[in-house]
Amino acid sequence: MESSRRRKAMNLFWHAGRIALAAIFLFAGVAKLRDPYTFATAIEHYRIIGASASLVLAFVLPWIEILCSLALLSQRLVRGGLLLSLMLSTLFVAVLSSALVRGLDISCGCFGSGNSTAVWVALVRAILLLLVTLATTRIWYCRRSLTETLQTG
Amino acid sequence: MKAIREAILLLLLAVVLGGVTRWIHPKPVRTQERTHDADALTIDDVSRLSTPIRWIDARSKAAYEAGHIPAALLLNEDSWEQLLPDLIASYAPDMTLIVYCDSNQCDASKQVARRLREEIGLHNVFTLEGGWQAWKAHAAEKR
Repeated sequence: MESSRRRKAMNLFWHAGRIALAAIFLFAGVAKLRDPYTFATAIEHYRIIGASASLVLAFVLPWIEILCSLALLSQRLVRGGLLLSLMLSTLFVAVLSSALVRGLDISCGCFGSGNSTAVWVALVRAILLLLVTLATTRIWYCRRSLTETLQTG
Repeated sequence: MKAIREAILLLLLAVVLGGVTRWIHPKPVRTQERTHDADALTIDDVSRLSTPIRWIDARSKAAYEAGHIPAALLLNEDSWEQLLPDLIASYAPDMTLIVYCDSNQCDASKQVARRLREEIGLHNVFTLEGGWQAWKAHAAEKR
């Protein structure tokens, strides 16, 4: 009875977490893909990589976000989706922290060209995204362990 | 291990799709060209203006307080609603508004200029090429 209730709660948190992450990455990816050239300029403003690399990243990163979102929604590629989600959110926190420390007065470029959020606001948002990703990953592993226990027991 | 394999697969697919998108994208414009702003004025352009000038500092309050162009008004997107009335109160129709942020690397001046044009309906709004850094260099040269 107790394990059934625990399983239901885990299922609820797992689905809420992965759908929320998938929605965020899908929205961010599609928004960036609508104007990749402006996004390339936004990447350049971080002064971490050059113009050519920024342009390549401006076309690849939105697709990573979109595929990460689809993987989280799928039944088969959830592990890969969670790992990509962790990598992306860690990357966002690192890059935005670096911009904040260097005092760069730039817009984050997080959701395409129409977005001009201040760096510190974007950093808080990225930290929240990382926390949700960590929590969702933890729930996925707990849920999997519980299922295996129930199957063997 | 399975997670790493799946992530690598997704990354490879993203690279392929990114390449295809780059190939078919309707506007193959180089990034350097995008950084050029048709509404940006250099300091020399500004010095030739015959109309009254209102400088607008689009940086953060902390950056503004650390130093700004004389008589510049602070107007950034973080405190748009609070700061906008100061500009409206001192605005005159024959005035040219020049918005600046830190340098060419920032977007804040372009965003504030865009909002002044689109939301407030002002037409005589420009940005300063090179921003605060260009102004500081110009002031140092004059000394």
